[in-house]
Amino acid sequence: MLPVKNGIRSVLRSPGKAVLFFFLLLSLTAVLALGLCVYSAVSGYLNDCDVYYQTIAELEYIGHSYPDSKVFDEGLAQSLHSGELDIDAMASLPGVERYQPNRSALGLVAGTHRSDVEVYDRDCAVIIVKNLIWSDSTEAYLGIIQETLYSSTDYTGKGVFLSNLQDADIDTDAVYVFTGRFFSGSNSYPWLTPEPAYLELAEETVSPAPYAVLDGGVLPEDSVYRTVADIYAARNNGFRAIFTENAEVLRPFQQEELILTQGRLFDAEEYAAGAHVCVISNRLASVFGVTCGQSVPISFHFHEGGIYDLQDMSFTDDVPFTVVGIYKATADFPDWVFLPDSKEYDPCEYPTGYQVGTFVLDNDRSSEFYAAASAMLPNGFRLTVLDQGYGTVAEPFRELQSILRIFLAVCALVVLCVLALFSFLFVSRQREAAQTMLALGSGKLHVYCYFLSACGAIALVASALGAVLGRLLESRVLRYVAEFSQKYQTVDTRFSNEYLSVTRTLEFAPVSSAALYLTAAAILVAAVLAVCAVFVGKTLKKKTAKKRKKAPAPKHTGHSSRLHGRLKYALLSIRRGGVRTAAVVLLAVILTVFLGQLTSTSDIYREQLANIGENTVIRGYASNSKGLDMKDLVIPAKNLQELYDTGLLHSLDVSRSLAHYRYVGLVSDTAGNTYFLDEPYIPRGIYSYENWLNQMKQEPEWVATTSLTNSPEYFYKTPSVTWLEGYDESCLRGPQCGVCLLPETMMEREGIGLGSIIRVLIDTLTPPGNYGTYEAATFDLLVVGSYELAAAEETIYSPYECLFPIGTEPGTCAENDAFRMLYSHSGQVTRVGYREYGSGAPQEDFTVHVLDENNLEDEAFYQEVLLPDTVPGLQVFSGCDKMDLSVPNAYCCMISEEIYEKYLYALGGAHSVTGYILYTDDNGVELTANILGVFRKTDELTADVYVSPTGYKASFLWDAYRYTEADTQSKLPGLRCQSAVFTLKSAYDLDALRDALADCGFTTPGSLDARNYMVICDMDYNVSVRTLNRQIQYLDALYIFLYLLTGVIALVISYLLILSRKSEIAIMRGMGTQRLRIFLTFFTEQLLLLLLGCVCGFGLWYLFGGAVKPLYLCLIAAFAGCWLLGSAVSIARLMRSKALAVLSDRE
Amino acid sequence: MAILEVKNVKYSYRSRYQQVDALRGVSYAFEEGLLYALVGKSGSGKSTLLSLMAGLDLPQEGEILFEGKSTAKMDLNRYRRENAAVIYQSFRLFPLLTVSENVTYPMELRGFTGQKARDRAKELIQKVNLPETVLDRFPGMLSGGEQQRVAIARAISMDSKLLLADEPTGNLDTENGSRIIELLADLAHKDGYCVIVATHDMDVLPKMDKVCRIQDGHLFEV
Repeated sequence: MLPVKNGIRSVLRSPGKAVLFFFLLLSLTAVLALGLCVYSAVSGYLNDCDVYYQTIAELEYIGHSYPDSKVFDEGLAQSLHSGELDIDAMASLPGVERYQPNRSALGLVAGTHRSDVEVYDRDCAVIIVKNLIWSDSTEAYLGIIQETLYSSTDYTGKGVFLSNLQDADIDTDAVYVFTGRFFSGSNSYPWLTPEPAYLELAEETVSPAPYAVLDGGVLPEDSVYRTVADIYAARNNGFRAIFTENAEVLRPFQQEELILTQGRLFDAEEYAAGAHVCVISNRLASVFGVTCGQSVPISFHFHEGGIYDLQDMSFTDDVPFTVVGIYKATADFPDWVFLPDSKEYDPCEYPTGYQVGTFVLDNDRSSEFYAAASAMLPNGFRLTVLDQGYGTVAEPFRELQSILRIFLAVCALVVLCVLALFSFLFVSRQREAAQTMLALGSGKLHVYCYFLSACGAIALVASALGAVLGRLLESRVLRYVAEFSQKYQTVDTRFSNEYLSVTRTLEFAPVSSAALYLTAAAILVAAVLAVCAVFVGKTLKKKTAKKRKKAPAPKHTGHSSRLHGRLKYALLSIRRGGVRTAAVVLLAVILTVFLGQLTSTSDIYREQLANIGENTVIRGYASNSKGLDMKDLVIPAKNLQELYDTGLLHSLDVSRSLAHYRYVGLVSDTAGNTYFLDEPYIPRGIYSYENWLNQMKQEPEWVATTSLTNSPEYFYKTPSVTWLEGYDESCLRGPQCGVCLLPETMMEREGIGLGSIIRVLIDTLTPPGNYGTYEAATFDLLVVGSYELAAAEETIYSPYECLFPIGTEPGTCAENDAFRMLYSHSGQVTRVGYREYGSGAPQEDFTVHVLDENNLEDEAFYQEVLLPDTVPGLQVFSGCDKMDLSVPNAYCCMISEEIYEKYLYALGGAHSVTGYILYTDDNGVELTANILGVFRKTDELTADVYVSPTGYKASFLWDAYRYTEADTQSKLPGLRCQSAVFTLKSAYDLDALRDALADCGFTTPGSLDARNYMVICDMDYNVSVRTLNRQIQYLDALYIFLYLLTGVIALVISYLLILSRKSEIAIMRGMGTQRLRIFLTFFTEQLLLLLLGCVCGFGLWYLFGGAVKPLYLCLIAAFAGCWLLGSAVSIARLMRSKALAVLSDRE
Repeated sequence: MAILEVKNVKYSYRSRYQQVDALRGVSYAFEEGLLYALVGKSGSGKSTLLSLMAGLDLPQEGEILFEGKSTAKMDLNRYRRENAAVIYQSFRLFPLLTVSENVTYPMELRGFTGQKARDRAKELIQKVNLPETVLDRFPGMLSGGEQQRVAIARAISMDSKLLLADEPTGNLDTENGSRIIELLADLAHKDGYCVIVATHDMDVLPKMDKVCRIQDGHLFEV
């Protein structure tokens, strides 16, 4: 006990030191404990987040059938089969926990009949019809359904109209079997459009005719029509069975699109055992008549060509599956049945639909995975990371955790330094006491007890109080942490494709523990004891004072004869300083280069950050509420125009479906040969026309677009287009009309070449402001390009310019409504091909040039070309005056010889023509103009008809066609686009774009209170920026520390260096050297050495191409300042010390 | 005639644990041409008195008169530079300066530089019985006795009449110590210096002209 008592006494008898270290240890314990507490809270929260959030990456194929989840896409199967998409390589990327492929089958519960809207093909049917009669009014046969072999709705015994049979040889007395599709219109009877059923049965393709006469009115048992009906029934009554290793990570559940209303998902045991349990939709539960806990017998059909491809109708045996959960069906997931994956079944290798599979990711490494996986994706694939908001929530905490690590490391370093100093003062300085104790026969244990009790006493009390202080401050600090994280969570995530996921929230609610503070205190006490023990050990080893080493004689360099005064001593000291001189210079060189490297590294990252936007192209698109689909939207053109007008966009490409089309034929081929085409059949009856329109809706679309590359079909792949000479993609933006791009498949099938003119029949054209008005029409289109098909439909693309002039200045381009009329800058009006059926007007398109007296070019054309009598082939009819062509309200025209000879001459020389020309706000205007005469078409007279301007103005409201600011306001609100894709002018404008999108009425996907959604594809950019910012942030934090460290090093070393020269200073003082002289002698020496080192370091840095920035120079100056300050303080201190004590060896 | 007179000098200081009254009223007059020994136990105040006489500090009470003028009224740096030279136990030579440069350093402080100073240094080195060859050597290359002789040469290069020595033989063997004392005695007797030597070495006392003991803060001539 004596050594302990004496140890504690020794502490009490050196109160200054004891108090200093008491407060130092107290503060350090409090800071360390708080740091540990916050670190523990943050780490705990991050662990909770890791459990609570689940990040997945959904891999999809945007192929021909996208977004139809029921179609098997050959392209996807090919990509998987050929290894073009290397799933295994992607699954082995860092951050992937596992990969879950989309494994599905067609499931069937025997005896069930589905008639809901979500069945595979609700309208298909196979029926037997009798008592057929022709109906003139409906232009269709009416019959009685004798038997329904398959139909989702049973119409047996009811009447049915059979369309498209006007040219068929139907025996009204016979009984027929029909395959086709039902349509329920405004008529009380259903309509069936007979269609052949293309089936690949076994190894042969069977295509039974859409109808067949039944001998004796009875369908044979082995009839192929029965097979067709069975297949229809299986497809429609079946459902999609999804085999999963973990249903929770499937998008619908992970994104909370599906909510369980009853029961649960599967547990681990069920997954492991491949148990016969299932989770079904409430709709299917109703069809099956089951609820949770009950069983339902399911059989499956597996086929590599897609689950709905029923070649052999081979289903597995029924197995009872227990329903463990029921979810609320949605439009996207109406009839999915989830089952634990089982080796019992071997689902199709290639998925049906566009969902390829799901990567289950480590929450913290999703960005890393996305960056690596995106680079591996072939054309046509889309990878979407869905993290449930983990990134936004965890990011600030992760940052905080990193900062805390640095903070704790610095704290530990400071603790070590303090403990070293503490031990030095309390132990090493008492070497004599230790030696005395040993000399008096105390064992080493006693000596250890003496010192450790002394140090331990201070440490124990200080640490305990420090822990209490930390505990008291804890709630305030944690509140600050919560506020800090909250502040950083308000990152602008609007519109970003990085944040398409649903966002879950997890409150930061740390539970503090007193144990942590006790641990921190205990660690500090243990550290004090350990460090002290080390010092005691070292002290005990030094039993004898070090023998003073005789200093080696310096080299005799230089001569002092020409030097005197303080400079002499300083220079001699530098010259003869040897290692001391070299060390200072070397240190200055190293630190100068080091500072250069620090500023340079930081600058490199900043430069990268500054330039990252230069080479980044950020695209975006209008989307559905989930932020994924970009087709078939309803986007107000006005909002798009406003967005474009912000000036932030490099391009804005839009498209709109004009109509469904049916190919009529070739009007002229590549060689210029023209062909006569019969008028396509258009039913006149109300119901038949309605049915016809319904049939036309099954046809592919005619789409107006400003860019094929930026059309939704090609957003994830680059289109392969072959252009007619003189045309390129810019023609889709320019004032081109009557041109189109066709799919290569269609061109090959129909024998169409580039430069041909084709005729298409369209179902409807709905002019703005006149919705609900249907028209049937044909258009003649010049084929200027062919493209490789990317979607299932053979879409025809044409320029969009006529819809509204995106990218043009008001007044420079006319608005032309949906291709019906193009209106060029020269004032020429070209009638592209509108036909009004049954009007008796000429059955061929012709071009009309309506003259405009306000147009100077037209005026010149009048005066110089049209009005002079030198017009080629000029014939002016009797009683007519050619000059009337310029008379207001004359309603007159000149026509070409061809028109005259082809039509009017044959009609007996009519004196007027009637045309039907559409304009913007109406279906059209009928114009009758007196024919004044005939001309011959020349290079100058290219139009078929020249109409007097007044007549034109009166009929066509010329001014209304001019695009003006007013037009933007009045017409744009009526326009809607179906897709929009944009490219940002500069990545630096990303924040401005978010604001602009919000200002223009767009919202982030996921919001339920809006209709117009936009997505910015900035994930890659954000990840890069964030990574660089984080590095810069860390470097900045670290650099401040390193800068300070450099300063401290300079300060301490220079201080110590001068301190080591105290005897020289004392000698000088002893000899009466003036204080200023002493100061300047040593200060000059340090200044010269420093200058030499810094200049050498700077030179080296510069020589090796290091950048010289103002910050660098400032840092060098600061370093030099610190060094000189340390020297000055040290010199000043030495000049105040007792010189005689130094000189007499008593210090 | 007394060159240095100490009048009722008192000096106390605070050590780590206690107040030390080092000098409690010391009075004495030191004359030129004599060699004085200042003896006493450790902590008796020898060094304190020596530092006061060397002008490294001022007495708290009383005064020290150099040639009749109080040191309190002098520029102490100048006093040390021109009037009081000190020799230390550890020689205290500038390690990076040659013997010649060490000896000429005090001269340069007084503006005496160049060849003249170097010639003077040569003379002084000879005076302390060292060969000329040591002039270009560094202190580290010399023996302890030689270094102390250089220190004496440097001290007398200041042309002051007061030479204070603090344990000048402490780091030397008996033979070298004896020679140094003889050298100091020669300086006192032949050159008229007032040499005051603080020492523990009783062997040197017979060579001293006067021996002063400090005890309990008071000085007594033995």
